[in-house]
Amino acid sequence: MKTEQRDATTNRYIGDSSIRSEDPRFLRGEGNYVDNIKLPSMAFSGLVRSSHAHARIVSIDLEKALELPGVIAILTASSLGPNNALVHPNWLVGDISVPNHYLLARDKVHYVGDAIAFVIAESREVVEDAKALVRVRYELLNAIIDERTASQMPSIHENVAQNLAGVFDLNNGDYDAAKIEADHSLQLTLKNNRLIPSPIEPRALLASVETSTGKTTLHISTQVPHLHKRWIAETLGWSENKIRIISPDIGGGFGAKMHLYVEDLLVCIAAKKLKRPIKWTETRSESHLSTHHGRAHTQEIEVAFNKDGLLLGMSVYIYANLGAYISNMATGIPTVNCLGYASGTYNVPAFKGHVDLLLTNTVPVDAYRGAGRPEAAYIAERVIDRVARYLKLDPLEVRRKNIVQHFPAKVGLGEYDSGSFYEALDSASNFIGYKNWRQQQAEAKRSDRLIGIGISSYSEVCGVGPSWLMPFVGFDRGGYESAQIRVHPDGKVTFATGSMPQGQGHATSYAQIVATELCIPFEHVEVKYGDTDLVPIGIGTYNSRSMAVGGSAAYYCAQKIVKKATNIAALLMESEPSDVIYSEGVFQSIVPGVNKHITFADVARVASRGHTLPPGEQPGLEETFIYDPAGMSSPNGCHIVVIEVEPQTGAVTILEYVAVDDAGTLINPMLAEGQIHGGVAQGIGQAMLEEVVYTDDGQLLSSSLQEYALPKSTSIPWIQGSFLSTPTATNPLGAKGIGEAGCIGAPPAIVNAVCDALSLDHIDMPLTPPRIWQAIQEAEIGGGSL
Amino acid sequence: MIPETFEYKRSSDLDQTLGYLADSSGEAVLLAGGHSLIPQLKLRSHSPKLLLDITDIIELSGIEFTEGSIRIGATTRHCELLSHAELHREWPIFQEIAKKIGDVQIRNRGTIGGSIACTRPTNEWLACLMVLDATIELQSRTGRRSVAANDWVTNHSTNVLRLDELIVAVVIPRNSTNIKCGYAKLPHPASGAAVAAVVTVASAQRGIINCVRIAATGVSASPFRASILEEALSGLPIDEIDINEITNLLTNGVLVLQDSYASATYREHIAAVQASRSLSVCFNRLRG
Repeated sequence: MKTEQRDATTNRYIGDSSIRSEDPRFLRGEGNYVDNIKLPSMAFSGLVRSSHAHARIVSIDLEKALELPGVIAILTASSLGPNNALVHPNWLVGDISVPNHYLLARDKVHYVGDAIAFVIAESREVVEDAKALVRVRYELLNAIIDERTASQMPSIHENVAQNLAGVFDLNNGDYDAAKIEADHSLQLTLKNNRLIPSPIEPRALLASVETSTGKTTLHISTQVPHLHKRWIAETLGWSENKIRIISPDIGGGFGAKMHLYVEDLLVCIAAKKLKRPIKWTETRSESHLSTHHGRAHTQEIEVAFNKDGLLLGMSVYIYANLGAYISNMATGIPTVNCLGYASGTYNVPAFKGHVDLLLTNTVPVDAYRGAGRPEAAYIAERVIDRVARYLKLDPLEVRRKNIVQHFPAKVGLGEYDSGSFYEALDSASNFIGYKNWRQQQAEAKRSDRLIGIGISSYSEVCGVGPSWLMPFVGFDRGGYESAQIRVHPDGKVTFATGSMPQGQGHATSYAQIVATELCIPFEHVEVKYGDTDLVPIGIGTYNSRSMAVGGSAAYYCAQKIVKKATNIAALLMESEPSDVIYSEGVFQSIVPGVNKHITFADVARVASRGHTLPPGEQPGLEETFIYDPAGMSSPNGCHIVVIEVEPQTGAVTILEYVAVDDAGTLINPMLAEGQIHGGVAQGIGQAMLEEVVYTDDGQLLSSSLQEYALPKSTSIPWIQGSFLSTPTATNPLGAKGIGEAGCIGAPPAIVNAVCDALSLDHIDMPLTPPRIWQAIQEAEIGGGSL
Repeated sequence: MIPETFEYKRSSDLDQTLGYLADSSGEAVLLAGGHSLIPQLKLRSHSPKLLLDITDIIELSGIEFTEGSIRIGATTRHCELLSHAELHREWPIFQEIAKKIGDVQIRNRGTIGGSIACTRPTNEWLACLMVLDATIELQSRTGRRSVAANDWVTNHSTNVLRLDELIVAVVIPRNSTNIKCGYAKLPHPASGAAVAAVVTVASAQRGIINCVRIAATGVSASPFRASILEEALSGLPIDEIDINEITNLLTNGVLVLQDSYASATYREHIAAVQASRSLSVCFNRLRG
């Protein structure tokens, strides 16, 4: 799966920390988000949501609400009738029992937040008043919250026996034999805590239908505009050429904005039915109750190893909580994405893995930044530390002993194409002064200070593809990305991509690639995205794929432009194309005695007029390239954190944090560093702060940011970062993913550090002071000394 | 996120406002900083018919020093209490408490009167006023009255404020006897409210504690005076107190709160830790 590599000696802008060209707009308040957009005669909408986790709907009384002045319509399952479509997942791994997920609940509700009635009114105020007047009578049923017991409870959905939507097995080698052969084996149960994605901009929608043409335009805060177009067309049975998706600026997505939600469809239906634009904007509390959550696993692990720390085998059993329905990619996250990488960066000769995909009466769970890889790295990194602790060996040494050093290396269903796993361990431990910290730790202990050092080595696999492989794991989409370059007559360029930024900086990084390849100034490239009528085809931004896949599309597209421009330039200079060289924006004939040159802008002007073209060449200088990746690439890294626990309160202070990451060729190192910082911040959130609490009857206690603690600037330490560079051969740029790395590396490093400080076998996230203090008390009662 | 419909009145005249309040037969709610009220309105957990905005009533705001007392107007904002140097010269505790309330936006809007009127379990100002033996001045159309801060809370979360009354000011004594103070707070990571916070004021003569008052907040249904701990401390020589031991008395006889973040056991422990820290600061200041 090797690809021809671009010539790195002509880098120009690639590798340059160009400042973000999108920022002036944002800093001047010129950002444009869905909720900012107003259309004439626009109406507002809102959802009456279930206040119970599991109940039969006895009746829905709309009378009082409909009498309210300003109420335009209220849709329910019965008024939608045959339009009450079923929402289908887009990734089904194996044989999955998919429960019926209607746009509006038919006769049962399955979680607190489940959609019951869709209210449309003249103002947001009337929507809220009308929602309060809708009376729903329920007959309560028992709620199931915990994934570990879900399969022993009565079925929530008729067609899903034992609440088990499906299972997934992955076996390499003979684990049982490895266990017999091994000197030791250990068991470990891990909870990977459920998280609420919390983008700063909640979900927002604005649908309008042009009556004369029947064309629907949906403004939506989405990571995947083209997929949303297809999903809406397929779900509603509408013509796809009559749907236009516009994604203006997006304030964060983290995976949560790449799923199909009932609201996406309801606004379209209502806009068509009522012949008015319909706006819907999620509130923060609603975001907690209806934007799909992340993680939510219980993982039971057994590891077999020798007395020198060499791993012989691992057995992993995952109870994956999918929530009340199967969301878009939900079955792929715990299986292909998590179990497939549960051995982490280590050689594990025998692996036995199983996943139970379980339905519960909770908010559906789907991809959230990292999407399975953080859960996987957490397994591998807790296991390796547990082994080291058991054998009283240095965790760094146990990692060195087991770490993958030869590439490509088989892992799960795929492979790590390349990497610097061993080098990253060395680099990070040297950077932080590992030996020195071990000495300081020992000294501190003598004065009863509890310092802990935590290491995490991670890899993941980014840029899912090639497309032909995707149906084999049940993916109902491709892995390609599009690029379109339009050279205007003055030589300036409009570049369009199917990927969709949510804050990453695509306007900058794509311009760097295109400007480099076309040998034109960075400022001459304008980057466009987020409009399916403008961008011909596309997939979107997730799985850290934009630079590796979309960037490669941009690269090849630019090559096509240069080739055509060279042909035109050759004609103008009366030379053969092979005698024309292009550099620094100038075509030059190398034919002896000709001594002619012509600029890129001049060629663009000639192409646009069409007067003088080589035979068979079409006028204009505009090309499209759809790049399908040859394979996936594996970024990697090593994060080391030093923490101190205050035993009196259980509070953890991060003393030092080092992140060494390798994402191959970095298009823009500053943006890459920013991705690491953001990812580490979210990882710290998962490890130390974020806790979703459900009551036994399924009420979400973490219903607002008053209860649910997100990391604040004061929770984040100075992150010392550096990059290694192992370019991948799977794409011409050598670029790997970077967006998810930080939140994969951070949680196990922090938990390992706290376990190290307290000499604990394990403690579950989030590591809040009360939880740590409790662990300290239990350790003291258990006779352990700290 | 949108409140139910309500009527809104804003007057700069105290008597007119008190008239509206009396005429509303309990349907009106006063709006000062709004940092408790507005979120409740938006979540529709509280839907009063009438909002009376009192922010324009000049006599409700500001800090006045008289010979025997300091009078803090009810609509004096947290940020003013944070930055009032003259107040801090006598009672630095106001700076220390204000500094740890919410965030900049909350401190810029929230008021001391509004904070007391809400009487939440996590109310810092009430704990402060309790240890300062403050009085709270109330006024209605029918007259004025004063209530001791220590008598403010009636039955845990309710207080003596009548529906036709508003808080005019809180009055604290001048610090003429060189009383020292200490404060410690553990905030909740999301809300910033006290998981436990303890305010101490004390004075000593020749190293012997002759007066000590301690109040805790965030720990129980309402802020409370730790009278058993106070009794145990008074008369002791400062340098012979085992602070970490004696603060275990803080929650004696108190029903300690528990929630999904902190168990009652943890909260009881952490409250004692905050008490130790608060006492240490105070005692160090007494030692000079």
